Amino acid sequence: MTVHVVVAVVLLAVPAVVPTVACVGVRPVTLFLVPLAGSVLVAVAAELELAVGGSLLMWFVILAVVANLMAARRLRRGAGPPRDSFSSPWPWITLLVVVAAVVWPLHALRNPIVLTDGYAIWTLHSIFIYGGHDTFLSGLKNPVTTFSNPGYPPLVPASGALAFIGEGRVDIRLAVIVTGVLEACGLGVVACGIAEVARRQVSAVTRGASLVVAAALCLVGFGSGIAGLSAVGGSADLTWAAAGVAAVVYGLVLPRSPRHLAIAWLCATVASLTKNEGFVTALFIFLLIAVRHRSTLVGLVRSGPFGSGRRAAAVVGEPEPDPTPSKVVRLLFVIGSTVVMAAPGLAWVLLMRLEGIGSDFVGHSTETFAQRAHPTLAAFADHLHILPVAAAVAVVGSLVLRGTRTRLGLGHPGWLWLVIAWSLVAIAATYVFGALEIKWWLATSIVRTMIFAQLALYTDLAVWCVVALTRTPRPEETTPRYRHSARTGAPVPTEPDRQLSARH
Amino acid sequence: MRRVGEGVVRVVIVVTVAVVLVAAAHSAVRTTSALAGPVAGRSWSVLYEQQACLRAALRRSLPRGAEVYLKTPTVGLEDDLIFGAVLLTPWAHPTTAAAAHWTVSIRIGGAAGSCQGVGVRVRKV
Repeated sequence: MTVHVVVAVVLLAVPAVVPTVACVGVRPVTLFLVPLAGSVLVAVAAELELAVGGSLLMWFVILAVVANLMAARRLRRGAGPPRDSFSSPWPWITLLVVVAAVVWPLHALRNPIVLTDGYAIWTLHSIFIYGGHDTFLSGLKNPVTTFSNPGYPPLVPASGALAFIGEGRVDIRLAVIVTGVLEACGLGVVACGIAEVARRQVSAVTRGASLVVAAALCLVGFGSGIAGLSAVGGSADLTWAAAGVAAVVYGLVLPRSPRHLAIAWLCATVASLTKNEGFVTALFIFLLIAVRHRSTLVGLVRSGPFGSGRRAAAVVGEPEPDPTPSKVVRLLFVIGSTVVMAAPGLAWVLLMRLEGIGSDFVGHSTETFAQRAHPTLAAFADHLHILPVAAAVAVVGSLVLRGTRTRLGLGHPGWLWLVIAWSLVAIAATYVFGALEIKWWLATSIVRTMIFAQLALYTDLAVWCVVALTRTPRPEETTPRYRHSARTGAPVPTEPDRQLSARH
Repeated sequence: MRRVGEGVVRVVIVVTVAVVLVAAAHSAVRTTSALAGPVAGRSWSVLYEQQACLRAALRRSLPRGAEVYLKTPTVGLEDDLIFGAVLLTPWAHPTTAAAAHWTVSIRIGGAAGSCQGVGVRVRKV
């Protein structure tokens, strides 16, 4: 089995190495992003298999070649983000700690745990995709298999199908293990994001503490408080939740930069291609990212995706023209950016509508609104015990540590809470206006549908912990460490900070 | 005074988050250890091997590409139908009663080719 797992992960990751390095450079987070980028490639390949015909492998190879050619062009022009040299010990320590924290929970995969959802949805869809266009389409349209929610997006099943191709046969357990690896990668990206909060800190204690917090978050993400059995049983819920939270951390919490934008974009795409609620939440994340990073996006559009990184840093200090002349243009730009970023997920939704494929929970129920709303709210309350603690910390932190947070270049804490609120409203609306009998539905799914909100709340706590541990000099005590480029939004070190970076 | 207040808030936040994360991580480690342990391993292995056995039994009893109707199980749960459809795929195609050439039912005990107490019954329509 170990050989097949290694082959499956290599098959998924190798075509994505160069494109990922071209976009985000060589950093600890790159290790976790590569398999996720591969899973996006294979998900788009599954979309093409369904829409156009052919096999998954054929489209995966074509997409991999195209992505690598584009990445090679970017790297040849030297326009990629500057690489971290791994010359200081911190990137290595980060890598070791996060790898250990995400790999340890995976040892539960040595037992053949496959939950009902693992069988009835994800691996079944993997079998459809593995069978080629005709099997894929007829499988999704088969009225007998409506129970499998045929409209669910293809990222997890396509990754499983690619693993089947690697082994040369259907192997349910292998698909479940690949899902676990993707979950681990998502949590790894979140953990690296937490570590990035303290990246500019000189204090070894703060940086070390941020790593401990990040590692604890990985264990919690896999554990009983959040995912538990579903994390190692083949369900896709932790995959989308971890990727969604990673997108929030890099897109809405960490300082604005083209590199963080690329990571957030990739992670939100993973979420949008993994589950329906992931798609709805990712759409909102894309919208907020487009609002927060509009200057960076304008820079990318103006200088092209192959030239923004270095050019952005080069223009610091120069007078920059107003990138968005009017509110209408700005609004159109934000909407356009959201649609472009969400394109892979939107394509799947469109494809499902064109083929008339839906899910069995969509429809009308005989229960009244009140009969559905009360148990839904009660179930939410039962599974969000962490909410009051996280809210209290966020309120107190916002009131007292706002300055520290600003000096670290972090985004407004409200962004993350907006995403959590949107996700909860979307899930509540699905329960209240859905077709399935509500008590059975809640009993069988609430543990999984709350994973994103719980993980996001724990992540917010972790970020506040690192902020609280950070002692940043006040503006009157020192010169600014960096400033944001008005054109790209990228944080650009001032001269003293460059010297500091060179030392550490 | 303000700095002292800020320092107290920092300590309170760090302690609160530390307590919450340690408690949650401790619970998570226990859960993961239980899932990875031999007891969980035995019970999940039984289920997994049972399903592998049923899949093999279906392949022995049905021709490749057969159109199959899954009969509502006389005992057990609705899940049996789901597992039946999953176990059939991709060897055969689960379909409606009208379109099927074969019927399959999953039965507890007694059936030929029993897999640890569960068997499949296959009939040509």
